[in-house]
Amino acid sequence: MTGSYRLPMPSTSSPHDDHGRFVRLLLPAEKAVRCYLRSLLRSRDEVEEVLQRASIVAWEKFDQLEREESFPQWLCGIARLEALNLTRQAARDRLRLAPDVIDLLADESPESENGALDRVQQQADALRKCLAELPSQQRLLLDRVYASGERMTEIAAEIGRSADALHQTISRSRRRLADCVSKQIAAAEAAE
Amino acid sequence: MSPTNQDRPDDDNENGINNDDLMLLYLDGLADEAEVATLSDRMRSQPQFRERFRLLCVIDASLSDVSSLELTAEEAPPSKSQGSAVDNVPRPAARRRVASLFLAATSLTLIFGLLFWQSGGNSIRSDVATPNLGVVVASPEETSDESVLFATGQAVQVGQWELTAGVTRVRLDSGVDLAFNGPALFELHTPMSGTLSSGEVTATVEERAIGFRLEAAQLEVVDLGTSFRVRVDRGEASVDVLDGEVEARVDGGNADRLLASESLTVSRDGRTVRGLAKQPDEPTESTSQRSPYEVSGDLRWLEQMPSDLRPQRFEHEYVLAMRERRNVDLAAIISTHAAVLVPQPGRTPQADGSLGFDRLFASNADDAESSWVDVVLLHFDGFGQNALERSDATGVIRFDRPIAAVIIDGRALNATDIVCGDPNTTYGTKPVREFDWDSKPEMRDYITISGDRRSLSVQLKVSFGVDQIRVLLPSDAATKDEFDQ
Repeated sequence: MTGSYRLPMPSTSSPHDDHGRFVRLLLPAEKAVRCYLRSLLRSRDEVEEVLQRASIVAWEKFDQLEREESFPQWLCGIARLEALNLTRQAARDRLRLAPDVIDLLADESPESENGALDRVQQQADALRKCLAELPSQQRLLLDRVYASGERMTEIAAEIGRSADALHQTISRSRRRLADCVSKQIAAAEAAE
Repeated sequence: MSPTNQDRPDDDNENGINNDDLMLLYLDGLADEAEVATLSDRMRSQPQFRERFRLLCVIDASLSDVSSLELTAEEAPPSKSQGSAVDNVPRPAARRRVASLFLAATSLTLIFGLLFWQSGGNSIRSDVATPNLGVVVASPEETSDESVLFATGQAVQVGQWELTAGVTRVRLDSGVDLAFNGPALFELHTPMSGTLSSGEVTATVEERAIGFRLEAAQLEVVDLGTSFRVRVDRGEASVDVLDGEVEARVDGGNADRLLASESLTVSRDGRTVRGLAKQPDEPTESTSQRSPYEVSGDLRWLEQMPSDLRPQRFEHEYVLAMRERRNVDLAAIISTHAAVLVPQPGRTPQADGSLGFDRLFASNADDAESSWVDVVLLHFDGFGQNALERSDATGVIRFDRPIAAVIIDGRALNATDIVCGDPNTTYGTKPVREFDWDSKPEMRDYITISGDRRSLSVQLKVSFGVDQIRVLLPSDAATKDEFDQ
């Protein structure tokens, strides 16, 4: 009865608990971080790739997170480094924004500016309202372009239109949405 | 919502391209080198330009997140009765029932849609088809007749699905497998969300589709990497977690995490009850099949420890037996000074009110049949939240070896949680978990030990508390030797 086996004492946080806690923090935060990354990276695929890498790094370093409230900013900081690594490797890509401009956008990050991440979230919330005001056909088209994962040229071919015409149509919708979001935010700020 | 230039940076039309167009061309990957260079220059010199670019990035990234396209009831566009333009778009109907009236209506819609398209009255026209988002992989009616909706191999789209009796399985491209046990009424909103209005669906979600959301009456379930089943019947909704975990929210309230084997039921009046999930291949009546021990009556074996065993957190009509821990040092249990009892054959409490059990003290721990024990917990928390709602249960569990000891006193249960309990389970610490042997006869609990001390019969009654019994069984010798090395 006096063997070397030590009783496994209950831990306050098991890996299982940590995983659940991590996922709960990650899901709402990654939306805002995705928006931030979009301004630094050339394509939506790159955004998803960097976001995935950042999530893995965040999970590996999760025990270093001091306060749960700061998780979005912390994740944003990790994502920023990952994104800059990728853009520096592709510095000669002439179809990408100039490196100094990317640095400028990165430095004006939600991570470095108090409340900026909230602003991104406000904009995303306002977007939902604006989408509701968009004519249904425009919304369906946006849904098709964004949710299907197909390239714009493929969708254009399927519906018998040129890629340029489809781009113009989608662009009109997005401009309307951007104007609507700006108005919503301005109205909310004026009301405060 | 009219377009406005008030928030845009200078709308310079150099080269025929305004600033927004330049930014959107870049975001769509359609800008050439010269356009990207122009964009960089403007971005470098104009802070308001960067601000507008960031806003367009928020829109682009949010639209990529398919769930943001889904609208709530308040946000939804006008219904058909209000004559929205989308009514003229021939959307692939996703209803299984193919009535002649429905076919006629569909044909008319198609004809009017085609006429509308040819008239050129709308700039987008009817060529905006709803995309295919998945495929039917199993159907109760195997047929090649394309007029039968939801036949195996048919593509599925957003919309309302009416499924007849039998099992229909749909695989969504997003990484979600939906198995409907019909009849069921379901609406797919996006590849990552849907609403079940009636019937039953089991969702198996791949890692890439974590976040898949399913609404059912007042219940909203968000997948966190799992398989779960949702049922809606006459306004009552429930979710059973079969594997992994989910986040459940009732009426938009706080999210509650449910783990494998747990369930949550929301009644029509909004009352919630947490309990034990019914496994799909394990009907309630035969839950003893997987049990390592023979169980009968109102007793069921639970393969996995629940995350929360505090009162009213894991209610069930059955007494649940589960393995808490293996190979626990009995001396460590006794050292907690808890009332560890060696049971004697017969029923207790006895007629004179005594327990008839011997207390196991630290000094006589070596007299126990084994110094290493496995711990099995019996837990009974019947439905009901006050003293007027009392639940009774009677059952038997027969072990493959004689019972070494039992722990039935509330304080003793509390004291031994740290040694015997599952570290991932939360236990109630108030004295509401004990076996009632000294209360009024109508509230008294009874246990009976068989002559060979291998069977334990329970007669338990609970109201606002729970009844728990820890049963200590000698560990396997091989395991003991392993740990003694």
